[in-house]
Amino acid sequence: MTRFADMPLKWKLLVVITGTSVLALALACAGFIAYELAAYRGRAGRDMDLRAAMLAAGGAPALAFRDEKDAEETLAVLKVDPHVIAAQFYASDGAIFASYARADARDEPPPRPESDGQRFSWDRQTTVRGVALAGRRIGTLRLVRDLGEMRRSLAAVLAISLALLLVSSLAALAIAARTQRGISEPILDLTRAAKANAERGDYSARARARGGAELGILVAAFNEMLDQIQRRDAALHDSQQRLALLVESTPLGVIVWGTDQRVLEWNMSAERIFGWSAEEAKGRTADLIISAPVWESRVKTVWENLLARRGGTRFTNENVAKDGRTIVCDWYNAPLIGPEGKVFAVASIVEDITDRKRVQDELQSLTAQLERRVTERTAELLTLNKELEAFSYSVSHDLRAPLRAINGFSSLLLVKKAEHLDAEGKDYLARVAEAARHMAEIIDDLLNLARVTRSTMQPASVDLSALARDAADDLQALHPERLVDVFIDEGVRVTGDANLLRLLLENLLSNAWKFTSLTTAPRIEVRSRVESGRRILSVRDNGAGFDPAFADKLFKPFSRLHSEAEFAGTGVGLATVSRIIERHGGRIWAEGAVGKGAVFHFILPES
Amino acid sequence: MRDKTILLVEDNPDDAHLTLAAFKEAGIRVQFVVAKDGLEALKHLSSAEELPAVILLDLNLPKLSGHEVLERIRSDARTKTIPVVILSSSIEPEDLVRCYALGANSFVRKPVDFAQFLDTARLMGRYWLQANVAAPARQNSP
Repeated sequence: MTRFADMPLKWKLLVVITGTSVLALALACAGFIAYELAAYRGRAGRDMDLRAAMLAAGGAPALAFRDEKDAEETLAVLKVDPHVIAAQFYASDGAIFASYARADARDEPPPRPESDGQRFSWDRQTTVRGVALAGRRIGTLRLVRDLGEMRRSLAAVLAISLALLLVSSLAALAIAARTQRGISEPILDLTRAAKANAERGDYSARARARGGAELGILVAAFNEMLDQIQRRDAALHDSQQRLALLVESTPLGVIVWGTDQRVLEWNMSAERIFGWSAEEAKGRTADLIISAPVWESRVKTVWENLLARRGGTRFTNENVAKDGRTIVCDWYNAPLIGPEGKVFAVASIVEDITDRKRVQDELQSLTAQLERRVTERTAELLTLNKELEAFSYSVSHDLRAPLRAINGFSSLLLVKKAEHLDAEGKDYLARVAEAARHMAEIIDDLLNLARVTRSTMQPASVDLSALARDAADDLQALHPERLVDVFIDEGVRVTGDANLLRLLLENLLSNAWKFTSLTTAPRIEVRSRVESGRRILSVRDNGAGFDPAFADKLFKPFSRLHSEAEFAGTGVGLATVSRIIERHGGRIWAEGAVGKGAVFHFILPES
Repeated sequence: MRDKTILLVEDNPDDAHLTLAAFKEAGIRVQFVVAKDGLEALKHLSSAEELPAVILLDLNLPKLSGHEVLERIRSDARTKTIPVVILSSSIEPEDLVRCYALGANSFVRKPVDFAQFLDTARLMGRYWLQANVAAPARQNSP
């Protein structure tokens, strides 16, 4: 039999409601019947007492006079009452004096009278009463009445009560059946919805909403909860999918280990890196698949640190692949902590850096090789530079000596042996001397150019105005016969190498000096101006100028825009100027036109 | 009065010849002693009865370099006050600085142009020998 607790709610409600009403009705009926019984007994007792009193009064003389006939006649009156079964008069000595019995009566009167009072048995009522005359007891009356009437009336009451009980029980059942639906159906609905969601796990089933009372609120809350669960479930699903996609598509190996070092998760990249498939790897420990005994202690330390949450989160290690290759891996490990703060797994992200490491090593060795080579080359260059210096030195000495001889002896011949030479011979000899002198000039200029290139720069603040004035004074001293207007802006200071800047101005000014030699009212200006934040310096002359089409040739060594007959020169001066500007990291450019003079602009970077 | 003496230390015979010719052409009366290398020069200085009024010293010399010769001259009490004029083809600033540091009195670059050589000779004659010579005229080369 089902226990009440296991019964469905619907039955519970039916049992409770119906049972309660039936029990109440039954109790009411029982009370009613008990009352009815007691009331009847009371009524019957009083009735019999009255009747017994009347009989006793009627029978007293007969008893007193011992008249049996009269006594029996007195009792015979009882025939009219069908309910009286039997009656007896006992004489004072206790023997039956007279008696009456209904025809069908089955009464065995006791031989001696019972004590006075009323007695009820199942089917009859016995009343015993003394008979007195003139205050003296002279006998006893016993009256017996059957209780059939009372039983019938009691049976009717009982039948009515039972009928009432039945009808009201049915009514209670009907009402309970109707009302329990209002309570149990929403709950059953909730149960069905909860069960459906739990079984299918899609959280789409909903309970029907009912009214605004407690159950309605419960259902609405339940549905709202389901909505939230469904939304979270969708979000969780979404994020799980993204994570899964990420884990599967990342080039990094993703491995999850149990605390016993067995593989729980093993993504595609881990398969690619180590050669073990997920099926092969799962359930096995690291030392069986990717670790070698040599690294055991190290792995152990890392693992212990991880479980104790002491770090060990990042390290580079050698591992073995399935095919036996040793590979270099970068490991990033993190313990996964459960809600109770205990490590329940370890997640690892692993990158195969074997190739990168090899390239790095190669790069390192190449760099070292390169550095060695640079050192060697530098030494070679230093040697070469020394040789070049020695060469310059010997050029300046050894090449000049024969030139000096040529020029010197030609000159001596012209002076001392002039009488042996005609005009043509003198002219030839003068040309020889001049050629030697010119060649010496070229050599000097070349040596200057070389020195500009290889000398060490010593940057300092330099008074450019003073350098320009010195150069102009030197030129004037060398050519005292010339009248040139020279204008120099005062107080122009720049940062640079003083020796090189001196050479720069000497070259630019001597250039201007030379090309104004055929100009009337020659004029040379050294100016400084600031244009868009930069200082531009310029050396301007009103001399022969140049064809702007050849402006780019100006600064090339040995390129000359004028014939030697017009303006003597080696074609090295402006190349030297350009080289000096270059070494300062500056810029130089020229403007000019034939017959309109020339201007050289240059910029020196502010230090 | 005897002509003053100049000790010319020069290994190149052409240069030696031209130096002598330049002084002669400039009209400076002077006695020349020519040493072909540094050792010869030092030997002359240690043995000569009369010390030269001026020493004209080339730098690029066989055996002992001009710098070494200069150093010896300046370290010898007998010769340390003799004016030494360096006559060199070098245009290296280091040479110039070093010579002055070693006690040279003047540094003259050997000119290729003989006309300039004449000027140089006149200047030297006037300054170092107090010779009565005309001021050097600026001569443009032919």
